[in-house]
This record gives sequence, C-alpha cells and structure tokens, in this order.
Amino acid sequence: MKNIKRVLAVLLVMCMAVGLMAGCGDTAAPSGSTGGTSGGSDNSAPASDGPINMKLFHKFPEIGKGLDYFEGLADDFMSKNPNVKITIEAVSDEEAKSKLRVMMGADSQPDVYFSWCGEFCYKFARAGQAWDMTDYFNADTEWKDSFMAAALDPCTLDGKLYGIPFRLIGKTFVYNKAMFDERNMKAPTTWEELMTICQTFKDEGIEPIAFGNLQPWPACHYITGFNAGCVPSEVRQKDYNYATGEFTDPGYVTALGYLKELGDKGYFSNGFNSVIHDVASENFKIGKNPLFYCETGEYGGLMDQGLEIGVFPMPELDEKGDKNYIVGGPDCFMISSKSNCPETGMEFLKLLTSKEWMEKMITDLDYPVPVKGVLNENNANYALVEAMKYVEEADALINWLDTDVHTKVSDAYLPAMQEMLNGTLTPEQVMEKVQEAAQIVKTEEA
Amino acid sequence: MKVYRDKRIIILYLLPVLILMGLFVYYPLVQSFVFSFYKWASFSPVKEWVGFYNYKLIFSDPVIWGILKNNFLYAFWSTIFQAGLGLVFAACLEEKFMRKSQPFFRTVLFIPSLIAMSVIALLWQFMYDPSNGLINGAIHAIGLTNLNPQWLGDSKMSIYCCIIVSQWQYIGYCMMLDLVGIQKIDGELFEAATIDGATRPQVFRYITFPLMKESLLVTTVVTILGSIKVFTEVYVMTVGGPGRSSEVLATAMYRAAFKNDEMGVACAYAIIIFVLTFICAAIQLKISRTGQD
Repeated sequence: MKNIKRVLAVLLVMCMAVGLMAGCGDTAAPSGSTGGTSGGSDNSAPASDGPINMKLFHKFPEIGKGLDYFEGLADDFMSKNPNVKITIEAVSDEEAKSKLRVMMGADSQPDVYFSWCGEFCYKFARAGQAWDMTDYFNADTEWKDSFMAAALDPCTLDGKLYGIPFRLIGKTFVYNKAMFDERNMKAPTTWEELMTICQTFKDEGIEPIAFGNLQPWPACHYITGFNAGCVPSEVRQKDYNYATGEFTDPGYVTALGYLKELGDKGYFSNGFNSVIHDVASENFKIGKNPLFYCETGEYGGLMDQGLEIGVFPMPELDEKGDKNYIVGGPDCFMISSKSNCPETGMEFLKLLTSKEWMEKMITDLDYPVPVKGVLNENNANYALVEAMKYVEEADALINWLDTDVHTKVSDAYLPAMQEMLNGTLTPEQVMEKVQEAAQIVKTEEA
Repeated sequence: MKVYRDKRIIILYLLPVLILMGLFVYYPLVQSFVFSFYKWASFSPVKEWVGFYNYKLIFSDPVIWGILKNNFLYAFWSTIFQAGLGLVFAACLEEKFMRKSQPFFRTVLFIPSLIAMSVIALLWQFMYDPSNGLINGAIHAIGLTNLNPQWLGDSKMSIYCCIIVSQWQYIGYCMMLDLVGIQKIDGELFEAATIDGATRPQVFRYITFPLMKESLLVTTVVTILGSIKVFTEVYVMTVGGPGRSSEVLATAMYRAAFKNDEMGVACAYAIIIFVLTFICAAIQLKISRTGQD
C-alpha cells in the first residue's frame, strides 16, 4: 500500500510538472529556406522548396486604418506567393520602441520590422541586427529609381542601405481656416507674423497653439526645427553624432529661447505639460485652438469631420542655421539579419512600395509616400498636397531630434525641456544637462 | 497523516514549485545581479564587463535622490491611507449602525481595486486635464475661477497626483482585509468593553487595534512593498515627468532598459528595488515578531 502511494505521488508530481511546462513549448513551424535570386518585379517570393513563415512587425494597430491596410497587403502578397505565410504583429508607437528592443534581445526578431530612420535605425545596423539590402535593392534599378533620393539617405549607414522607406512625414503648422478668415488673417511667412497672430488670438482669450507635451516628444519636434534654424548645419551634424557630440554652440540656447518664448507668452494651450498630444489634436479639431504643429500623417484625422485647414511651414528664423527646411523624415521597414527569408522580405517591401499600394496608403491612411509621382490631387486631400509641395521645395528634411541623436542625449534633452517650459530650468541649464549626457555617451562609447 | 511524516514525500511534493520558483524567480534574480555588472543593450551581441560602473552611474546622478524620495512618499502616504485609514473604515463598517449598509459601502470601496490600473490611470489623466478635466471643472464651478492647477504638468504636484490615484484604488482592498480580521475578533470582548463603559474610540484603540496586529502587518507589508515597486500609474499618467519630477525606481528601470538601451543599468535598478523590498519586509517581520505572540 505504502509503495502504491509513493508511486502515485511521484506520478502526480510528474504530471503537475509536465502540465506546467507544456505552455513553454515552441509551436512555431520551422521556416523554409529561401535562397532565391534578386530582381523579380512581379512581387513573387524567390523560388523555394518549402513553406516560408515570415513575421511582420509594424506600429499601426488602428482597426479600420493601419491594421487593415497591412493585413490587406499581407493577404495580397500571400495570394501571389502561396508558399509564404505572414504573421503580423502590430503595437502602438511607444510600445513599438521598447518591444522591438526586447524582441531583438530575446532572439525572436521579426523578419520585417518597422523602424524610424536615423540613429534609431543605425543602432540596429551597428549591432548587426539589420540585413544589408544594398545589393538586392541596387539590382532592381526601376524600383530603386522610383524613390525620392532624400528618403533613402536616412536609411543608409556607411554607404549601405538598411531600410526601405514607405512613408514620408513632414511637420508643418495647420490652422483653422474659418477662424483665420473671420479675422482676415493669412498664413504667416515670418516668425514675427506668427507671433502677431498668436498675440491677436491671445488678446481675444483664445489659446493660440494646441500643444500636448505630457509625453515630451512634441516639444522635441519644435526644437528639431529651431536647432536646424539656429545652429550651423555642420556643427549640428557633428553634435548629433554620438562620437563627436558636444552641444556647446550658443545656437542651441537660442533655439530653446524660441520654444520658451512660445510658452512664456502663453501661446501654447493651458496645461500643456499635463496633456497628451492626442488631446491637443482634439482641441484643435473642435476649434479650441486655431493653430497646431503636427505631422502630415495627422491631417486625415483632423479633417475627417469636415474641418477646413490650411497649411504653412514653420517660419524661417533669422539665425545662423539652415534656411528653407522642413522637419520630418521617412519611416522605413528593415529586415532582420537573422531572418531566414530576407529576399522574401524584400519582395514584400517591393509590393508595399508599388504604385498600387502606395496609392492605397494615401487614400486609406492619408500618409504621404516617398515614391515619386504617386501623390496627387486625385488621391490625396488638399492639405496633404499643399504640404508635400513644401516638402518637395525644401532644401533639407531635418530628421526628428529624438531619433537622430543618441538615446541618452535625447533622454536628457526632452525631460529638461519640459522643466524649462515649466519655468524650473533655464535654456542654459537644459544645455548643461545635454552636454553632460553627450560627454557620458562619448566616454562610454569610446 | 502518516504519509506527511516521510520527509522524502514532502520534498517530492514541494519539488514542482521549487523548480518553478528557481527557474522563474531565483534564476532571473541571480542573472539580473550578474548582468548589472555588464554594459549591454537588449539587442547588442556583446556584453562588456564594467564592474560597479552601473551602480556608480545611478548614484552619481542627483536624480536618484528624487526617485528615492518619490518612492518614500509613496510608501509613507500609502501606509497612512491604505493600512491606517483602511483599518478605520473597516472598524466603522463593523459598527452596529453600519451593519445594514455595510455590503453597499464594502462593494463601492472595493470595486476600484478590481479595475486594471492602466485603465484607472488613463481615466484620472483625463480628470486631471487642466482645460477639459473634471477636477478643474469642479473647482471653477464653485466659483474659484482664478485657480488653475496644472496637476500632472506641475513638477511639485505630479507625484502626489499619482499617489492619490493609488490610494483611491487600494484603500478598499486593504479595508476588506481588515474587515475579515475584525470579524475574527471574539465579539464578547467588544461587549465586555461596552458594558465597562468604554467609548467607541476607546474600543477601537484598546481592543480592535491591538488584536488587528497581524492583519495590519499584512496590509502594511503589501502597501510598502507595492510602493517600492510602483510603476503603472506613474508610467501611464506622467511617464516620470515633468522632467524627472515623478520618476520612481521602476519607471527609471524601464527608462534605462527600453529607452536608453542600458540593460546593465536597468538590472542595477532591479537589484536596488530587490534590496529595498527585502530590507523593508525583513524589518517589518522582525518588528512585529509574527507568530511569537
């Protein structure tokens, strides 16, 4: 009897352990080998003997918008390539930044993944996590030539291409046309004119600019432009490079002064450091604020209930930096260096950036695209067409500061700007913090 | 049961949980400790040995003292409200005149603890909105139109705004734990005290409070440990801002790991959190001398 009890006990223990461990198994089917050749233009995956499982990661989880778009794209690709099965994972903007890092570290990299351009993309390339697309891309000259050259630069590191741009975002001011027309106002072309307009609204008791800086990236978009306008280009590029960054040029303090001026004069909406960007966007939409500094990709959402908006770029500053620039940059898709099917991934991206799917991106999502000759009056809203003119006419596209500098530098910059806008730090103190961070980065990376 | 006298059987029964605890609790803990001596990013292929550099980096940055202060404030106010006021609420609900309405208040106060913190944090974020929020709306509605608190946007107020949300959510939870404790006290003690002429506050002071020591210990331990580990409400409502004014240890750890790509620093923060929680739990258990009374 005693022995039976022991045997039963052992069996029970084993069952419990096995049952608990059952969930840890890997059920993923093995990926098939690819090994095709480059250059196919019919978006069919390179020849393969077995099934190909491809994981796609993006940051457009809105049902009825981005989520549906990418599901449709994947379905289209799978119908053209029956041996390919695409699994999609979509998370929102902030989560995408952290989740990507975790996936890379956990060795569960998606084959094709969304990335911001500039330093965000480069660090994956430097860590050996990004597939070098150069040869495959260059082999298809027709595809290569379809892109705007400016959109490819921020995806290129040391002459190697690591990302395919699919969306081109510019940052401009939008204004409520009805509110401007009531006061016979026109879109400002100089900083002084912008200030006059803001003061006029403020005198009427209207908060001029919708601004939500609880998550501090909106202020970062302002300072991206102000830095470009106040700091000589070569100095800025040297400082934005983590290996040589010093941030000692007085232009940075001047740039912060412009941002502070907007805050101090009460031109930003009430409690901007307590409000998220989306709430600021809604406030603009309901006519609470007549001005909003936003991305071209946001226009569709602002106009979906009939609001008429006008567009103008951030006025030029009479300082030592660049002239005629637009803040913004492309978003891209990268391919993992550990992917079993990089060529299939490239064919998928070729389909994404085909005329058909780029047009669909404009009509369905209101996103401007980096492929030449696709966006026009017939498929894009009037504001987007107007904004893209500014983008095309601009001499330079200035990439977002928070994805262009080392993360530690941006992590010093952004919170310090919140404090500056709250009045607890001066522009000089903000730059001291940035300089300290830049020095630490230089020492650590050395 | 004879079978429980056999130590081998006891060990066998404990084996699954020991294996799982070892695998999912102690192994990661030791691994975090080891990794805190390296410089590495989650996606980088190499780990570079840096010794105590990550700890030095944390303690040489003045921000750490603000972070520790915020965690201390969280623990202090949570103990007062959740452990302290929760007990008072429980004692009040056990009073005779509240017996009938007790289920109603019990439910109303307990429900917030059932809602996901991220949902609550988002709701409160809207309530704290200076322009459209409920709170400033109420302040203006009673005629205080000149008052315009910035709540989450004010460096001095943001941490207290987060603390308030935690108290609102968990006071009912602690009250429920205390209520169970009070109901276990022998009713004759209350009757005897009442017959001897003790007032209600005296009954609470000399009978309920001393006999609730175990329950109070549980709520205090839970709230203090929770305060050291607090993350969601701060991350959702303020992301540690404005600046770093509402940063706590867990958000600093998250920032280091997933924003700054400093996994070594994040591991060092994790070890600091572990050491603090361990010390607090040990002190509390020592002071209370649980099981000896």
